[in-house]
Amino acid sequence: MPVLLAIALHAEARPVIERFRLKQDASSGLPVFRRDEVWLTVTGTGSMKSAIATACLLSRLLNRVERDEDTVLFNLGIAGHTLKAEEGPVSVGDRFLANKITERSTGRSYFPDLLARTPLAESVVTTVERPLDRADAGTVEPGLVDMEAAGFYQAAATFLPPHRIGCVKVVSDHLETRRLDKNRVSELIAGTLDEFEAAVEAYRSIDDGEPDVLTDADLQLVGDIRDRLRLTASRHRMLSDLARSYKLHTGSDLPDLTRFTHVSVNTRQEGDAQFERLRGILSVE
Amino acid sequence: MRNLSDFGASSRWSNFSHLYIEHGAKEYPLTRRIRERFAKARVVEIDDYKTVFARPRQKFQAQKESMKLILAVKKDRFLYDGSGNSQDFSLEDFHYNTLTFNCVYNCDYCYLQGMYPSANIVVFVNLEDYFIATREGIRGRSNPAQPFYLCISYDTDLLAFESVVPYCRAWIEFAREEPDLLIEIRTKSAAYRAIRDLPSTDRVILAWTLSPELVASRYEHGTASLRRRLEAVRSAIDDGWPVRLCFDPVLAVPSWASLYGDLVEEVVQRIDPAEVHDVTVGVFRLSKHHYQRMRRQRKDTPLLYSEFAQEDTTVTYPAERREEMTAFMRKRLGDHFGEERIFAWT
Repeated sequence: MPVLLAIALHAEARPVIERFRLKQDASSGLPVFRRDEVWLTVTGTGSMKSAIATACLLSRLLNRVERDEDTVLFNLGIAGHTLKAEEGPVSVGDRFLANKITERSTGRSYFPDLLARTPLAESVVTTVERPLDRADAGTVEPGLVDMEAAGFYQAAATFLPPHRIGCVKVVSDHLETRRLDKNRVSELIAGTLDEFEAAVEAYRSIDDGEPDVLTDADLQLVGDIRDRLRLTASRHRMLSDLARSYKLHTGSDLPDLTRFTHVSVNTRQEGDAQFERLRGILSVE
Repeated sequence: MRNLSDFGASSRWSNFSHLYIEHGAKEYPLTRRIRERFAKARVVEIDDYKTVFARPRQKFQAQKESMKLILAVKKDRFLYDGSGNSQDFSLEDFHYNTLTFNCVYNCDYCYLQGMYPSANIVVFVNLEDYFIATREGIRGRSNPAQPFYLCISYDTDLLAFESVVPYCRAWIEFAREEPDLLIEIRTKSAAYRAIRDLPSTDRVILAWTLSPELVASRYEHGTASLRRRLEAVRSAIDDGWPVRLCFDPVLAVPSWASLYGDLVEEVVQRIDPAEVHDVTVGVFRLSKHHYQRMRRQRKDTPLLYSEFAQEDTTVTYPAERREEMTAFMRKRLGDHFGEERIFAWT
């Protein structure tokens, strides 16, 4: 199951790259780092850049994996918090999983589906176009303020179900607009990686709840028959459902259908005849 | 604290992790009650329930394992005309409403899987608006000689959820004030105890869906067992409620005739047919649209991979089988209940 990470800054990405021992993937036009099933892209700052890089990574990878929806995708980064430092209980270094992401420019909100149990606390995140001053803290919903989450989420949700999209933010400041030292940023991210990794694992463990009685081998066989008999998409779906019906009603494996992967058909009528033979074999009524 | 087994409940909904609350729903009494009941739940404020409920690419069955509760204000459509897939009992003004979306149970054959994009439960908290619309419906009904017939637990199981959302109680009290209203509350729960303190009224029919225990345990996940449903039926009858028994859907499972024949015998051994208000019968059927969506999601249940026929926009068993099953049930039930009290969907 691929794990995709979209991170705005190199300083945020560095501890993640080290933790997962990722290597730069020179084949991409984007800054992409990977190892085995883990892919990380450095998106740059801002909602638009995050959306573009996330969409690029997804469109590139989802063609490679057989089951797209097994993929989990996270945005990880620092964020300000609307609470003043002395107001508590939120402190620099605290980390949160976003349960609501609001794009301030449009007023639209997005909701990752929180099916996994993670060790992280939760917060709303408001995505702004430029850093928010402390004096403007009251203009957004109390919680975290960042510059990427809304763009990231919208791009991700174009490809993935909402329970496979996560957004984790580490509090870096209380909206005091001062430039953070890169090493400090890396430290903040490094300090959250145990919980972040646990959250990723929790997301990976979610079952989509759509088990198929047909095994991968069954699906391969049905696909081979489709190719051999030149079945239309509709007929292919019917054949898959006949095979499911057979297994569900008999409780048995599929009968031997390999001969249908060797026949050759030249006309539609020949294909139809073979399909009817299949239907007869798989019929359980 | 009531025993959750009354509701056939599982921990999936007895402790919601999240409450999504529309801004406009925050101040309603039911919202406050639910917030107190689930004090540890995380509250997420939302503008409109659809932003959560109608997200694209949600996974219904994955969400069933971690259902969230969404509290919303219904803006319009407080009454719907009764569906052609339901028995109308020869009542001209047959309606249903949607006080909640979705159900705490998870039946393999349930059309909600094909109807809604999400398994999360939406509760509409503005009950008074439903009452206003219902009063208007009663006043404007087409046949004043008949009651205004309203199913309030149509796309859900309200009684199963009564400990969280006490809507059955509220509607029973409402029915007492409306002499021309007839309500049906249908359930697969054993949660009659949740309303047992209320005096019975003939303006409310309590309806239990009954299935062979094998069907209930295998395909009606989370529901009360047949034995517990019948105990609830017994209690309701003893307390004077009109009770409807619903053999619906009848499923073409292996040995269906034996299973459903035994079911009828077990029911009449435990319940005196003379004390039952009426009986409904219907084989499995659903809209073509819902069926197609369900098949895309469910590749693991034989119930959706039987031989079906499409008639207009309804998918059901082929006519011969349907007629055989319906005739079988009518005969078995007719022996005990008499034909005149059996309402069949054919």
